[in-house]
Amino acid sequence: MNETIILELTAASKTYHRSLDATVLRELFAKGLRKKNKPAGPSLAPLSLSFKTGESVAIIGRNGSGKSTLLKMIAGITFPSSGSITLKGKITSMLELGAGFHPDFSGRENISLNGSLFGMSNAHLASKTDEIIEFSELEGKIDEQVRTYSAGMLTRLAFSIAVQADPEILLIDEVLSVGDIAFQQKCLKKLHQLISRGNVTLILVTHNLDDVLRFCQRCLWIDRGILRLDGKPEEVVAAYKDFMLSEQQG
Amino acid sequence: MSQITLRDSKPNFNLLAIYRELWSYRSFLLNWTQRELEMRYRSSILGVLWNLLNPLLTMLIYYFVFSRISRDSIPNYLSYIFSGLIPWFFTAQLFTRASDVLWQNANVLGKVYLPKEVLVISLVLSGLINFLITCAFILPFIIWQGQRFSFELLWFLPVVALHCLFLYSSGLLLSALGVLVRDLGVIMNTLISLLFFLTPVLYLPTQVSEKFALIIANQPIAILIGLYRDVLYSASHPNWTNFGLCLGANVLWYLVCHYLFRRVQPEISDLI
Repeated sequence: MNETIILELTAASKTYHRSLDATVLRELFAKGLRKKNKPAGPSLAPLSLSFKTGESVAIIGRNGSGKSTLLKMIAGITFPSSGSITLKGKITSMLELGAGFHPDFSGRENISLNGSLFGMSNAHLASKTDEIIEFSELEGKIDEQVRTYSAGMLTRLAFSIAVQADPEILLIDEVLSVGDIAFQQKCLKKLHQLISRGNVTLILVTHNLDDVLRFCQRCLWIDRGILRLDGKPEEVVAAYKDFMLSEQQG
Repeated sequence: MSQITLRDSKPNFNLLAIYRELWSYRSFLLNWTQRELEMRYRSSILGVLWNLLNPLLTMLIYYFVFSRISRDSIPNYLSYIFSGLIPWFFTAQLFTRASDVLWQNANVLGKVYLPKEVLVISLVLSGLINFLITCAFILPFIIWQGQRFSFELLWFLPVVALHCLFLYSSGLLLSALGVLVRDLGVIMNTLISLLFFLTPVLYLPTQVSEKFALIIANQPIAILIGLYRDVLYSASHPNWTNFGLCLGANVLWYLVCHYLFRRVQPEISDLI
């Protein structure tokens, strides 16, 4: 098994600042200009992590803990406020439902738009389109406008494109939960196939702890922007469950 | 072997790396540009044809209005205004759309990684295609109005290239500014009509007062349109001094705009 490091975070952190608009200006004047506009607090504290080729890593944590921010930073959608991220491979990301789809265009047209957005060449796309449609099981609807698609159908299409894009690092943020069970299983099976070939690194944000246990080799638990635990899925999930239950009771 | 990418908070202005990455998005650029051209007229009956009809109809209006206005001071007045109007439309449309392009595509940029320059390049490309199609219809008319055909007309191509470089640079700057200062999109139309009157499209640069002429003489769009006129209207080569200055200034302008674009990119990414 190839043990090279494909992705490395070096003290990468993220702090979102409020954008300068009329409200902020008004506050500034009300408070007096001397007081500094204080940032909203870090979304992610400095984080150092490395991921090996072929690893499948789950990220868990409650809502708003910074999981998605971490994925966005790895994907390059948002920039780290400090520190750096080094990667040695092609990233394909599924961070939000229907991301990059154009509602007025048909499913087929969106395959070429979205596929090329994931770095597939048009020639490559032409040869893969049928396979993508087949995997998505959307044959009957593929020439209809994407605006008429349900959430589950969007996920089907997006996932089918993403796995054909030959990703080296695949980032998935909770979108699979929208599909029906049959398709979820199909996706997980496909992911398993990709990972067992050893050339895809999967980073998955999920609230489905069973998937984590069944599917991932490693689990990160993030809470309030801080990495709480990084280790074997069984241990991390158990600690996370304990913590969440005690929070609810306390 | 895949290339190594480093992401941090410092602006990255390694042009070689930037363009190598942009090159890998060429399929997307083509698909996206095709979408741009189709999108606006998607559900209309005439569809993509509007890309062509719209500018032609506008030209027709100008034709009917201005062929009825005394034009003794400018010979071949219609060629004169058309050779200015076509590049002007290209410019105005790009300025308007660029100031809004990153916002409009927040749906993509906020969820999938994409080098943002691609969207500006796509705007220039789709504008260029419309521009060239319009030219294909209007240029024969202009040549027919003028007296002769000459090979100096080929200077049209370098002038177009220079124009595109100018629009690309300005587009980068405007797209970034449009995100940082949301008000820009609101005021853009007004700014563009101001620019229109500061550009000798309908009048001669010599027809205005001296002070005003000084502004016009140093205004980049006016200089570019002057170059178009040298080729299309006067049927000669472009004014060498202006062409040289324009080329130098444009390269400098490009570097400034692209650097600033990269400089504010982290902030922009968090705002959209």
